[in-house]
Amino acid sequence: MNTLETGLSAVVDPVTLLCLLIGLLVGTLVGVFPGVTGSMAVALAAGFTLTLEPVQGLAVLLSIYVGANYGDRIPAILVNTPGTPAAIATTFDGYPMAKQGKAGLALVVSALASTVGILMSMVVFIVAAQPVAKLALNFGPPEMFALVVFGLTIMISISSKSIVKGLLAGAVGLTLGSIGRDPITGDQRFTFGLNDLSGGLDFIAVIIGLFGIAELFDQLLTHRAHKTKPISSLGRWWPTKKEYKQMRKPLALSTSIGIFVGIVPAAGGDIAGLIGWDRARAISKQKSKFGQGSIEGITAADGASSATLGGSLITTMALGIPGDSVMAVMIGSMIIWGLQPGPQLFTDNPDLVVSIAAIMIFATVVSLLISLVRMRGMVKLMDLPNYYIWSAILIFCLVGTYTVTNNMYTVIVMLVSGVIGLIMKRTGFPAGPVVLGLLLGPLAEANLRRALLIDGPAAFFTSPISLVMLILAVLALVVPIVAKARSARNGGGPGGSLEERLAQRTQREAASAGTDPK
Amino acid sequence: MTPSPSTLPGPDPTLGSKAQPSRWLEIAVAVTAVALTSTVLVLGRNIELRVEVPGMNPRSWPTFLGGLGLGLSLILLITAIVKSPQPRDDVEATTRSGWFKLLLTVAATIAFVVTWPLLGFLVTAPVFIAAATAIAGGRGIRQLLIYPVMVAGLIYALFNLLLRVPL
Repeated sequence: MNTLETGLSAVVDPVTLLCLLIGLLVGTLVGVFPGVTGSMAVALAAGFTLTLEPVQGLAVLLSIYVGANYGDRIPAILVNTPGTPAAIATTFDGYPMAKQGKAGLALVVSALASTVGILMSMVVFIVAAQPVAKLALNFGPPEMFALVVFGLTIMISISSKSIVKGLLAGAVGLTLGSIGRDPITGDQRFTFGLNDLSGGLDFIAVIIGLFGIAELFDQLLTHRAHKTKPISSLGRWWPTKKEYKQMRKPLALSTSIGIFVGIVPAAGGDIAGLIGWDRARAISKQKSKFGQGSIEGITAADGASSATLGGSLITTMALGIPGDSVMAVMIGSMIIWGLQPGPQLFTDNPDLVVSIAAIMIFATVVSLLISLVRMRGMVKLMDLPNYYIWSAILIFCLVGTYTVTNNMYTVIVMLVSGVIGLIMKRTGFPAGPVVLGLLLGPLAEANLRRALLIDGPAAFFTSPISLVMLILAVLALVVPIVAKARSARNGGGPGGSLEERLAQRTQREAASAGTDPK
Repeated sequence: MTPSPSTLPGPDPTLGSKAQPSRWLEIAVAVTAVALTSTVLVLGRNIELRVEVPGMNPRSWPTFLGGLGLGLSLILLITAIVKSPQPRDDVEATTRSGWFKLLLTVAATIAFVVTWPLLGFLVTAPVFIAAATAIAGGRGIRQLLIYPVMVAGLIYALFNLLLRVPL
């Protein structure tokens, strides 16, 4: 059997298909409940999938990723609350459409745009991932170190409200990654004589704590009993011929934007959705309708945010650097299965890459069908009381973590990470750089030491790839600082993270466009 | 003209109330960061080496990270003292009942982690789920009896029977 056949036959295995359907169901539910994010769900599911075969486990995790991408649009359209951050831009036109009695149309347009976005991005993944991996195969220690630094600084620049806090979070992650045996000499570091620490901190326990428990604790801490009643009148479902035509241009533009944003390490659907919506408005002949229930607007927002999935996969699988926070969790799980994402994956396990692409495409098509058929039923799920969701998340976090090592020590690590994650969240420290630092710290250190040993510090500046990535890394930190300083000087306030600033800007522009008579 | 929040499209900004900026919180965070990163720096410098290696040794990276962290923490501390505190509009304000719920949940979770190895999953899990549901506001037989037993049973079946992981 050739690679293609092997990869595809692993996916059509009945157990894998069952895993895929379970993942889709979980993912869609996760998307529907605001506050439960894709990263949280994938982190939680990672604990459960460790005993499965890699393809089966990937089927669960990837289909949660895809399913959440569809489910999160439902509350965005019906209650003006994005199910996950990736659906922020969906609210701009989705909710106004729902208020005009076109909720059904908004849900269908959103599902169609998401499907086209993901499928187009998967085409790019299939075409581009291998050449990128081939290029990355030539990377030596200086390039690998520079790549990790680049990925980390981009994540800090995107996710942090304060660059200093983001850098500190990254340094904490890298320090946590140095706990255990030294990667080259095997000397014990920060283990305090404890055997449990000599293998390092368990990655899955830390991410379940940071993404799952911290989020849950924060919701408990801040919950207020208010209820926005979902819009129940869905109206017509299918677009007219004219509306299909209206969707074409914004879809083409936003899909391209989404794929590009997805490739940038750490940038996800939230940022892509906002940029896609903004750019589609800029080229539209009906700018004033954006923010007021425009089909073009919702198409652009969902096309862009969904297209990040394929772009993100390219960065993750071909370079070994997570394309977004869900992919960081995915890398952690793959490492436990003995698979190292990165260029070697394409030479050592090419059939697995085929399986990944097939799972994503299959999950997307099934998600579209579920979205179109079961949308009415999902709307009712939004009435489920929070206490069911919270207690279920808590017990699944505990049991999922315990099963990683069958050791209560791992559960304690998870709970401590959760409390630290809560403190970080409440004090403005982003969790993403900690996770990325923990995940990539050993890789960064080993390559830095090898590069210095072989060629000395000059190695980083004589290699063009390494030099370019280090310059980009510096720019990633300097540009937001300069932009914030300029904004503060112009009276625009200190601003927040890139995502927040984009959201504020697009909301302001949409509102002023809505009041513009032209 | 800057539009008022109510005229903006997107998620409803009036839902919930936002946390207030606090200089003291910023200073406390920065002081904690200084203390922690100093500890990392000291511990990093004291890592025992079995063999001396040329160039970077196992101490170098943690020491560098400790130094970097300390430098950043000091910047954070100076910023917290000199500049006005950062807005915290990305986090919701806490509630008194929220603190109560959080502390009770943490206590219940610790109790579960301690008793699980002693009494077994099937005994402790339904009680824990019922406690967590009650703390979060669930009341009634369906919420505190049927639901916890069903979820615990489902998890036990999933792990013990399907995934063959003993709980």
